[in-house]
Amino acid sequence: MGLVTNHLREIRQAKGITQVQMAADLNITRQTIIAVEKGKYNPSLELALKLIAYLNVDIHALFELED
Amino acid sequence: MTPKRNPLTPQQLKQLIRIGAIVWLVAGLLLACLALPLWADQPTSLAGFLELFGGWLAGGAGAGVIVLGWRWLLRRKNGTLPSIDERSVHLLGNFLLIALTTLFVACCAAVLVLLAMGIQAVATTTLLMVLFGVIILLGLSLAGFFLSL
Repeated sequence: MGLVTNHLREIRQAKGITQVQMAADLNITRQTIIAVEKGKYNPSLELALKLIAYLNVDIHALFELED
Repeated sequence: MTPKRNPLTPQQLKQLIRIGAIVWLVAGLLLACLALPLWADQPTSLAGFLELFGGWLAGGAGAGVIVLGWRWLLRRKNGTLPSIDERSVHLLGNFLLIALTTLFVACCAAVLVLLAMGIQAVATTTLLMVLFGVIILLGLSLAGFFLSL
């Protein structure tokens, strides 16, 4: 099974968005953002699509599947 | 094919679990109050039941005030950010799985220990008290889990 990594922190910081702002906009907890950024939690497909739409990036720019 | 919609939002689920935990705890306490005199082999009376149940309710109300105060402090700290989302539901599933597995293993171990001690039979009232203890413990741990979110 491949390992999913993400570049959420880099993209979020590049766009100047704070975790609190992102949590409020996406209606999720800050702990979830921290867990996703640290790679401790893989978001559901629904949240992943929300993140892509919110950050306006390609899915491959945000998530990577390592073999 | 029409898209499948989630039947409950995390907030609705939170409310449902909160109400469920309260009903669970009150039902457990109520039944334990009824079973305690049976277990202690004492005569049952309405006054005794009310005294026991009232005491537990008063203790529960005191704990409730502390919990509400704690939540108020958290709300002040976190502002309008949600306190529950899909990850909380995921964690709850893991928590219940671990809690029920632990409970199952502990029950098996307890029965084996009793058997090794040479106990051949257990009174149903004792089993009833253990069961209510388990119900109350699970309800309290659920409440604790949600407080930690």
